[in-house]
Amino acid sequence: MLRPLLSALCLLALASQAQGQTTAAPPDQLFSDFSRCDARFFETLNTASLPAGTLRVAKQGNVSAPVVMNPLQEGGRYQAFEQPLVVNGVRLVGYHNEAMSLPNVGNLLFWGFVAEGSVSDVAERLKPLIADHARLVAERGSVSRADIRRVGDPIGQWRTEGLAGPGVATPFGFVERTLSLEKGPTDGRTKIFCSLQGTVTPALLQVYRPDLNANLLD
Amino acid sequence: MPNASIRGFALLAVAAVITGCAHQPTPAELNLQHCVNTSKAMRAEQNQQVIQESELCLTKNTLPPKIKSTVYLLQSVAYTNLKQYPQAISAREKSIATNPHPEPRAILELSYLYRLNGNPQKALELVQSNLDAGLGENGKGAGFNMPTFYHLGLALYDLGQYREAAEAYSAGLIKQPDYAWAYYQRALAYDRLGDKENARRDLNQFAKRVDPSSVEAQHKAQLAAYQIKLP
Repeated sequence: MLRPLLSALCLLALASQAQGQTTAAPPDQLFSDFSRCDARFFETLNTASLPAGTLRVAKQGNVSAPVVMNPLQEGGRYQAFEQPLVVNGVRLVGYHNEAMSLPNVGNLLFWGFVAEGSVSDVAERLKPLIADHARLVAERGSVSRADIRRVGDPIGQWRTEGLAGPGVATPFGFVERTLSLEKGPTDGRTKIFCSLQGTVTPALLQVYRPDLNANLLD
Repeated sequence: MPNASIRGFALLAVAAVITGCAHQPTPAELNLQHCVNTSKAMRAEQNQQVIQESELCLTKNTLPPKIKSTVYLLQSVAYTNLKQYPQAISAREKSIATNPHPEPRAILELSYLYRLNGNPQKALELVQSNLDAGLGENGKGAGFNMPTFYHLGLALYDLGQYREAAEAYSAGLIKQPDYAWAYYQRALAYDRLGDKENARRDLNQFAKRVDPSSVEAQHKAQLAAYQIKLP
């Protein structure tokens, strides 16, 4: 009588384990969502169950975001994790969130992680998790994926042609969005960050950075 | 479109000098007199007369392209004043087509007419054609300013693309932060998005900056909905 029941329970356990293996672990999924450079990361953070002692997050309306003191203030833009957040073997040790407005350039926002390891090693390990990774381009020691949007285009529509290019200011009336992996602030570290730059308006920020006050750069 | 009218007067003044110099008008000068009359009628805000005289001016004379373009422009202004938008559009398109050096602003004015005529999609395409061609208000490659983004916002709003409209007005306000009407229009877009806080903020900016004599009943009603009064 008990044997069939035990067999069924074993089968259920095996099925559950198999399912667990095919579902991305929360940090990996979180990183994939981050790599989209849109609101998804902040939405996922709202419900993600992350290992204790890694990111400290705070709720902002319907989303959550890693806590930094003040993205507008030098020295207040970084959170060092007590414990690294491990994503596909890469140890993420901190989070950076920066916003600024520069005359004749426009608004610039950067947000993302600091990882242990060289750019090439980190890129190789994280590449499978990065959204639209076929468009990643390695250039001058960094790896990036860029797109551009003209003001007035449908808010979710980005172009992959006509990019301003590295080191060139985004033309007025356009916003450039980039995911970059670059040499970090100290040796042996890599920055993995998203950026929005150019004519970044409150209406755009409401969609792509719901964790921020959309008028913070006005 | 006051700028268009002023340009029209200036060019037709040339014709007025030609006809004014003659003691005994020749048939050619009499024909040219219709062009002068067009200008005079426009100054007197006699729109029907502008249309009649401009038609005679155009049919009885072989005008240089620049003058011809200006006559069509005045005709378009008259039709606009009479709210006869299809005719205004037709005249404006002829004005642009005959102008040897069409101005990017003329495309924006044409976009405005298409909006008034209930065709925001065409209005949007016209503004986008300037953006695609890099035709800023001051010429190719000179960058884009409030007029382009304002007209872009108006067309997007009419198409129900409120977020994109708000974005366009914001871009214009970076270039011209004192333009009251961009705050007003952006407030309407925010209102449609349900963002009452930003709508109120913009209406307050509008109330602070606008020339009260240009505020009409519909604008006052919008302000009243947010309990905002003009100073």
